Amino acid sequence: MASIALLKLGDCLFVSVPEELRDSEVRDLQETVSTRLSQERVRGVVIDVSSLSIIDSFVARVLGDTAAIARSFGARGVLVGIRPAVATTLIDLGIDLSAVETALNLERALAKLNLRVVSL
Amino acid sequence: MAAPLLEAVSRVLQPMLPASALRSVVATLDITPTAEVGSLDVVSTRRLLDQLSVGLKLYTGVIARPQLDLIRGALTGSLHPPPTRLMLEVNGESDVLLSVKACQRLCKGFFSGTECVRLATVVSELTRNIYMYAGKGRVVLELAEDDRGVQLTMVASDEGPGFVVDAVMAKTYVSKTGLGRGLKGCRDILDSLKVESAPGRTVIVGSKRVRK
Repeated sequence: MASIALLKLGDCLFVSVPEELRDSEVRDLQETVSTRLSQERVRGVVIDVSSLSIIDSFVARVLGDTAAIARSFGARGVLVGIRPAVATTLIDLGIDLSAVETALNLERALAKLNLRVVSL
Repeated sequence: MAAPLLEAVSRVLQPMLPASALRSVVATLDITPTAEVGSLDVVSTRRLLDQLSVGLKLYTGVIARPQLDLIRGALTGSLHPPPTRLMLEVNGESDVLLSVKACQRLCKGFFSGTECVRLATVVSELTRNIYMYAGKGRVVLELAEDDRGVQLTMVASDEGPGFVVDAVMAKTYVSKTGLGRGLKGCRDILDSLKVESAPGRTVIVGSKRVRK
C-alpha cells in the first residue's frame, strides 16, 4: 500500500495525493489528515491532486469531506492541481465541488490561505 | 565498372531495415510472431501501426498516410480487425483501479485525451457501483471498429440486490455514496446507457462512438 505523503511546513499541511488511489486509501487519507489536524496547529490544508488522472464521484466526495473536516478544526482546505480533462468530467457528471476551495497551484493556494511557509 | 555507391548500398539495406524494425516492434508489443493476417485485434493493430510509423520515420523521414494504409491493409487483410475485448471480474476495491486502467489502455489513441478521461471515469463509477452494492460482478469492455469509426462498449453486470431504475434515473436523484447525478451523469458522457435491474440481476450497457 502506498503511503500518502504529508508535509507540514509552518501552519500549512501539504497532502500529495498519489497517482493510484484505492478507496480504502482515500479514506485513510481523510483519517490521517483529520488526526494531524486535531493534534497540531494547522491553519491550511493544501491537497494536491495533480497526479490523479481521473477523479470520480467517490473520490470527489471524500476530498470534499476532507476539506469540510479541515474547516471544523478551524483550518481551510484547498484543492490544487485539478487537470483540465478531470475538471470537465466532474462537471459532466454533475459533481459539484463548489463547496471546496480550489486553486490553480500551490503558490496561489498559499496566497489564498494567506500563509507564508518560510519566514525570511 | 564503378557503380554509384548509395544505390548499391541502399539496394541491400532497404529490405533489411523495415524487416528488423518490424521484428523489434512485434517483440515489444507481445504479438505472436506466427500470428496470421487479420488475427490482430483493433488495439494491437493500432499499437503496431503507431510503433511502425515511428520506426519507419527514422529511416524514411516522413511516412505518408497511403503508406500506412498499405501496411494496415497487409496486417488486417483489408478487413476490419476483430474487436478487442477485456473482461474483468470485480471482487473488491482494487478492481476499480484495474478497470480504469483497462479502459485507458483500450481508448488511448482512439479517443481524445479528454474523452479517455471521461470514459475511464464512467468505467470507474460502474465498477465501484458493483462492488459497493452487489459485492461482486463483472465488467466487459470492448473496442470495435467498422466503416463508420470505432465504438467502445461497456457492460457492467452483477447478481446483487438491484435497484429501482426509474428512481436512480429520475431528474432529482442525487447519489448517496458519491456526489452528483450518478448513472445519469454517466449517460450524459456516453452516447447511450441502458440500465436493467431486478433483484439478482443488474445489467448496464453503455457505448460511445467516434466517427472517422
